[in-house]
Order: sequence, then C-alpha cells, then structure tokens
Amino acid sequence: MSIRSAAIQALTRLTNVSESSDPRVSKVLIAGPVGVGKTTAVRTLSTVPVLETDVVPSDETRHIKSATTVAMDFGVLRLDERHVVHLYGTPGQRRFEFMWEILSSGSAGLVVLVDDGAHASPEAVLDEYLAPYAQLLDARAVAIGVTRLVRGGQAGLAAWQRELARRGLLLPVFEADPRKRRDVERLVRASLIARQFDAPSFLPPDPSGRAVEEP
Amino acid sequence: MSRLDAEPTSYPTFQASAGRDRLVVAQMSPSENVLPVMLAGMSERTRALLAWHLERQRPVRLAQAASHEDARALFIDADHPEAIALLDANRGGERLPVVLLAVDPLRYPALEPVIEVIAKPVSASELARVASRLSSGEPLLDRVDLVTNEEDSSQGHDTGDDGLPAVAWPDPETIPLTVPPYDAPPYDTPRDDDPATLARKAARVDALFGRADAGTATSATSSLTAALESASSPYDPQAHLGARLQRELDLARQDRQALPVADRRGPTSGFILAMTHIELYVLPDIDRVYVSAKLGRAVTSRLTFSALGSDDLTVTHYRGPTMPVLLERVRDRASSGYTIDGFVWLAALMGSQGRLPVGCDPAQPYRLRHWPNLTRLEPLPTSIEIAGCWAAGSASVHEVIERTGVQPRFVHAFLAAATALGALVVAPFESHRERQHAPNEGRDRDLGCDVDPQRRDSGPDETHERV
Repeated sequence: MSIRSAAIQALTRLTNVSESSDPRVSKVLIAGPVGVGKTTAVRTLSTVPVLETDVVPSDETRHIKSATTVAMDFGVLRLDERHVVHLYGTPGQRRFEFMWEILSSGSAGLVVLVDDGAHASPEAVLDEYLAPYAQLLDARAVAIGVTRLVRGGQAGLAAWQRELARRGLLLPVFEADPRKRRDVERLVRASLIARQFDAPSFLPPDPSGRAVEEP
Repeated sequence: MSRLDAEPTSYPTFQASAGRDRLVVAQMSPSENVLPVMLAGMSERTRALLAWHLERQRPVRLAQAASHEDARALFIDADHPEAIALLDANRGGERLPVVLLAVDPLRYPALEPVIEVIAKPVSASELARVASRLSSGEPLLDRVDLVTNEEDSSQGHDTGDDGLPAVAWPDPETIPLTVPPYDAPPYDTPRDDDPATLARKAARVDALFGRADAGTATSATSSLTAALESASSPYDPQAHLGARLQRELDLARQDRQALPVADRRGPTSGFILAMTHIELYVLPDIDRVYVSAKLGRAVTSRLTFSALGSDDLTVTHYRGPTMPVLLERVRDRASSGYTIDGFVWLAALMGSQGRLPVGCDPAQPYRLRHWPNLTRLEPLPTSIEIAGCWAAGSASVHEVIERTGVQPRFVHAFLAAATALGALVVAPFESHRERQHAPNEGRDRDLGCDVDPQRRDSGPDETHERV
C-alpha cells in the first residue's frame, strides 16, 4: 500500500462520522466551485471554532481571493437539542477531487453552493459538482444554494430548477447568502429532509433526551 | 505574465479633465482585439473580480487602460460611495461612456453618459454584450441630447422622449425590500430568546396561519381530526387579494407581450391596486410590489388580506407614456417592497389563515413541481418538512399531516401558498393509487427521484399552473 493510499484511508476513517457510529450525529458536505462561499458557510453555521486548511492560492484563484481551501473545512452545527451536524467544506478545485471522495464517505447530506454570476452554465456546474456524489443524489439528500443571484445574472433560480428537472431531479433550490445563518441552515435541513420520508430511522427520538456533546 | 501580475498596484485612477471634445464613438485597435477601459469607484475585490472576467473576454477583450492609453469607457460601481462624485466629475470632464455595475441594474436609469447598467457580480454574457457594443463603432453618446438634457435639468426637471417627466427609479435605500427577510427570526428554531420575543413570534404565527384552535397535533389521529375541523371552515381564495393580483398580473404580462420589443427597455407597464388604507404598486418588469403602508402592523395586514368586497379595490393600469406617473407615485409613497413571488406567497398565507380553500378535498393528491424559494419567502414553520414530504411523491393533505406530524394549519397554509406560486399542483388520483400500490414503480432508480416522463425533458414551465 502506498503512502498516499494509506493516508487517504486514514483520512476517510477520521472524517467518517456517520449515523452508524452515533445516530444523533449527521455529516453534511458543503461543495461547489471555487469562491462560491463554502468556507464562509461553514464559518457562519459552526458553533465551534472552524478547522480550516486555507493556503495562499498559486493558480488563477489568486485573482479572486487571498486564501483557498486545499483539504477541508470542519465545523459543527447544533440543529436542535438532540441533533448535531458535522459540516465539511470541500475544496472547490477539480484537482482536489480525491478529497471529495474521502469526505463524502458516510455523508448524510450534501449542500451544493453555486454562483449564479459565474461564467459556467448550470449544466456544466451541476455536471461537475453533482456527479461525484451519486449515492447522495440517489437518496435525494442534496440541496442547491444559489449565491449571488441578482437580476440579470447568469441563469436565475428557474434556470437551475429547469436544469435539475431535465436530469429528473426534484431537489430544493434556494437563494442563499453564505453569510446568513438562516439561509445556510435551511439548506442543511433541506438536504437532510428526504431521508425522513425514506428512512423511518432518521433522527430517532433520544429516550434519554440528552443533548449530544459537541466535539 | 498577466497585466495583474505585472501591475498589481497600478490601477489607473480616474481624473476628471476639462476636455469636452472626446470622440464618443468607442473604437478598437484592429491589430489587437483589446479595448482599454477605466475601472473606478469600486472596491479592490470588485476590481479584481472584474479584471478576472475581463481577462477572459473573447473575441473582443476589455482591459484596464494603462496610463498612456485613452480609455474608451469608464466602469463604475454604482453602490460605491464615490460613484456619484465620479459620475459628476465625468459628466463635467472627459464625458467617457459609463458602464454602471449595480446589484439591481434595473433600479438605475441609463441616462447619458451612462450607456449600460449591468448586474453585479458581472457575468460573462453581460460583459460580452458591453464589449460588443463598445467595439461596434456606433455612436454611444449623442452630444446634442447631452446638451438638451443639461438645459432641461437646469430648469428643475428632466423630460423623457415623449415630453413627460422622466422619473428616476425607486431608490433602494429609501424603499427597502421586505423580502428577503434576513432579520426575520426563524419560527422553528427559537434559540436564546426571551419570553417576550417568543410571544411576539407566536402572535405573528397566529396572525399568519390562524390560531391552533384544534390544539397541537401530536398524533396522526388528532392531526386528521384537526384537518377535518379546519376543512369545515374553508375560505374562498378568489375573494382575496392574492387572486386579484394574479389576474391583473396576467393582464399586464399579456399587455407587455403586445408591446414592440424596441420599447421594452425598463418597466413598460404596471398597475396600482388601491384600497382605502393602502396602495400596492406592482411593476412586473422589475419583479416588485411596493406598498404604501407597512404590512407588519396587524390592523393594516388584516384589512389588506381579508376577503374583499366588490368595491373594496380599484385597479389602474399604466403603460408606456403614463408609466412616469406610476413611478413617481412609487417614489413618493412606497414604504417597503416585495418580490412578486414574495408578495403572492404572503398574500396566500394571510388569505388562508391556516384554512383549506373552498372545494378542496383533503384526500386529493398533490405533487410538488419545484421547491419554493424558502429562504426568501415569509417563513412558515415546518415548511421544509412539508415540502420534503410532497417532494417524496404525490400525497394528499391528510397524508402529509399524518406523515409529518405537523399542525394542519401549517400544511393548509403551505398548500395555499405553494399552489399560488405554481409549485404544487393537483396529481391525478389514478397515478397516486398506482404509486401507493407499487412504490418503486415510476421511481427512477438512477436518478433517485420520482419523474413524470412527460416532464423529464421539458423542466418546470415558465408559466405557473394554477390549481
């Protein structure tokens, strides 16, 4: 086994906090293109100091921002008294695709943030950022947050909905500002809601009524 | 090495000059498809983003003008504090064609020397359109008109082409949008709130969705009972403001379709819904409903959204030459604004008050066509659970109440509001029964959701279906 694959396996185990290990804890990924606001969203929601892996970008990203995520962002959201969500922000660049695979292991939900003002079409963006998460798509555990949605933007909310419908997907598509807690929290909730109607075991009531300890 | 690498801090700063003889026809060097432009009055982030976009423009590329180059246009961020001073300086100096960047471009009139107002953050298509216009060689500014406008403004008012007063767009600073409700507390996740705040929230919920007279539904049986009780006092949606607004919107849209394409720049039509206590100014072209009184007040809200009598409401449509009159009313009287969807949603919630509409069979299945934009609409408790249940497949009101366990009034309110937006539509009984008997039939295993084969290729309609 190479050092790289061993490292990947170790990282996968480390970040794989699924409901099988603790039913009160869910893991939700926040994915999307570079500069769309993934790190900001994790910072907005997290009730603990966010673990970030930001470095000075060496590619064209440096024209957009001064730091970019290269591995992951990690934060914790307390949805209610009994339910805690571990938030993982993914790197946006395609070359970090291996991290997407690692982080998606054991995920209960996926929030894809997309930039309505960007160059890429909804088709291209969804191709790139939905395809790696086929299992979550199959479980309909995905919510789309459209950021920077302004009149005259690239597509508008309806265009994203049309593109999803063209793929036969009926997913929540909300306008979102990653700086607004309410927006991002609703996306996280929406990404988790499909399981409530497919899997009765989702969010089982805790007989003890104890809150889950945050890490 | 890119320009940004070479000159990271050498952005040209705008200097007004007294020269008025600049040729106002933008021309491009034929040897290189580069058109120098000046970026001024914007934050470093906006400038960097814009520069990033400019670098990628093809075939005509806009580039920041170097100090020795003559800029062909001036880009200004309309939301920047220096924007007005820069515009004035340009108007009195170089008279460069100006491209304004704005969060809501339709709020700013393209009065010369402003030739374009484009949305922030800029998109490739918008920049391509601007680049195409700048490089077309067509006159961008009409010098005769410029002088005429100055004379008009010196007399105290501007005039439009038709001789009527030209009214500026409603100022977003003075007419804030009520939706998005950034500061509205979520009803379903109260945290660290004092009792008074919680009481206010509860009162607001009662005002929107009716009182929970049937008690909180803690079981499927009690939910169904409550649903039946609520269904016994239905309301007529057609007698409320939301339905009237929809009818007038349809008329206005038909009117716009009849308008020549050349006349469609800016809001071309709109209407006023006037009641004794409030006026609604509806501008479909810019997706806004402005109101003359705050709807947050309980009395105003109740008067506005209760059932209408035959003479409670007057409607006046405006179009073309009469539009400045409507815009002036908006500017002078509007106190807050909504997106059209936001107002339709709110009106449906307030009209419903947690009741089912007349003739609605609680056993009738509905299906979700698309999720409502729940982050920008009046918050409704448990709306994500209700929408999620309907997204899982067609279901009746009874079934949704039973599966979600939420109070019937919220399901009824969601039904009213989502159908008003066209997000929820009636599903045939037959397909519903088939789905119940064979839950996996019709489910696309590859895509993980229920798909209506007829809709697979078409996507959601632009026009909403009404139930």
